[in-house]
Amino acid sequence: MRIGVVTFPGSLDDGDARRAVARAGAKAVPLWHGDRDLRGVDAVILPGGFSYGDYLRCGAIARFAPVMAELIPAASAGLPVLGICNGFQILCEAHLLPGALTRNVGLRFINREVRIRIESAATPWTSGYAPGEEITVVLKSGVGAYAASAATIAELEAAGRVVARYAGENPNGSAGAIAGVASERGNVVGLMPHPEHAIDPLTGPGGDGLRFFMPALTRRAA
Amino acid sequence: MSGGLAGGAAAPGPGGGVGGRPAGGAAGPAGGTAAPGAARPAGAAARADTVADAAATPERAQPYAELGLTDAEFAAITALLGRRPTDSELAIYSVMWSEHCSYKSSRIHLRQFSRKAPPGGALLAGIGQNAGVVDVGQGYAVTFKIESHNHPSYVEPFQGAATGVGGIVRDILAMGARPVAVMDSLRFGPADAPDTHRVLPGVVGGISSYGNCLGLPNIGGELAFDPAYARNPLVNVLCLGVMRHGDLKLARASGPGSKVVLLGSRTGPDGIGGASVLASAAFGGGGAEGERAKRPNVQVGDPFMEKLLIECCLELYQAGLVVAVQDLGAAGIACATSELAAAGGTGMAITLEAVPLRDQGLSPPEILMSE
Repeated sequence: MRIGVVTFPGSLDDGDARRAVARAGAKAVPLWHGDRDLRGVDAVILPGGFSYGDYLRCGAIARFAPVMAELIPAASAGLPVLGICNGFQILCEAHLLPGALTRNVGLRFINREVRIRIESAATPWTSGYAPGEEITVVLKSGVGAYAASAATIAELEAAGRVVARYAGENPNGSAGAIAGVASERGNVVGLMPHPEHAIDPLTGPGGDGLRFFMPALTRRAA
Repeated sequence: MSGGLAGGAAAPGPGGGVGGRPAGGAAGPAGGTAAPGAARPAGAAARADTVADAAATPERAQPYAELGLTDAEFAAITALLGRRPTDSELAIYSVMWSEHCSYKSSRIHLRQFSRKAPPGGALLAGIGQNAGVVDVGQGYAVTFKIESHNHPSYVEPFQGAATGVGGIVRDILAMGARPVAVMDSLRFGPADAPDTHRVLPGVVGGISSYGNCLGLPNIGGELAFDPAYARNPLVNVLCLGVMRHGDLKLARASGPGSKVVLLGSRTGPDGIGGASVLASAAFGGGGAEGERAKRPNVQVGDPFMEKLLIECCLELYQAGLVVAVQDLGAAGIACATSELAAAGGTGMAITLEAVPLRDQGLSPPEILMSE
């Protein structure tokens, strides 16, 4: 199983994402924003960071990177894609996911551990979790409040496309306390908190995040 | 950030274009190559004051006092050169002999840092380098440095503090290390003073947003309020980097034939300070200065460019292409190039026309002195 991790100019968590993939037992394949090439990977992660300095709008410039010209049709055809934080913003800008990320309520950057509840295990990225399972991961973002029209939110809720929800307090004012959503087919998932920072008790809040980087593996292998 | 790094990269072959020459004492850099950049349109810049001009017009008045040089210092320069300095030479002397760059009044105290270093060789790099480096065992070393950015942070709190982070991170990068964390130490006037309310939120925001954009966590700090700091806040930022011993880079451009490469943002007219005095005095006074809009003395940071600079430099180091590296501080190209060359015992040829500019109208002394 080979999982590609894209590095955009300004990506910060590409190294941690590759490390999480390797820790989960898969092979991490670095993908370069300027190459129209997915190198035959079985899944792709868009990592967190400040691609293009968040200039114009978070993810708005990265969405037009050459690698995205390959990724968008591949994702539409079913390739598993996980966007974390800035990656989530890029997926929304690319219209692979509905809605948008907006400034946190309170307008401050939030950097802390959060509890999230896995609401759907029916995606390649969350199949290692039990529906309703609560895990601890890291939230670190200033533009992390999920927003979409009432009709879109209702549709996401009804179709089971809300993948993860903040448990307890809603830290950033996300609609419906939504922390992550999936595409209609379920293969594309966007998640605001960072599971890749929660794979090792030595450097994070624990190992709860690691299974995000395993399920695609077990699913394909099965 | 305006400068970035000047690095001595090994020339790919003989005839690299720059002949090594014996260190020329205080008479700064001469000739050479800089980064590829768009050549300026002919005639856009003011004509340079050449050595021939200096020899032909020995009596021309020069604004050395406005540049911070004393009568005795200017006399010493004239004696060293055997003529009056050109405007560019005067710019170089004024920055290199300034307290900011030469620590002429405090160097006697600063010397103690190396003299009193603990025995055992744990200090891998010390005074004179961009940052100190300490051996922490198992082949690893850490490098850290704290630096103030007080006045800019008082004038424009957000950008002043943000560019303070940018500067200290480049110092750590220049040692060959990957920057991994920042810390801060802040002092403000009384917490209930209106001016503190103006300054503090911007300083905190500038430090956090710049660090965030580079992926550097702020792992600690300290804060105090006291009337003594009213209208004179202290904004100190520390950066910490980690490297293997073999990754250590020094600001020493040793060996002739190396290319000099300027990396980072384009050189603009900000932070020039005294050089604009020189430009207006040398190039027609009122006209030249009057046509030029007043520029800010506090720079606007570009953390995205700095993030690219970090990754670019670390890749260049890894590829073994870099002989020496120097951060461009407040005194810009003049200081970085002459310090690199002097430490390596060579001269350096600089082609100012090749410096990528943000403002095509910059004069040679301004390019040399721009932050």
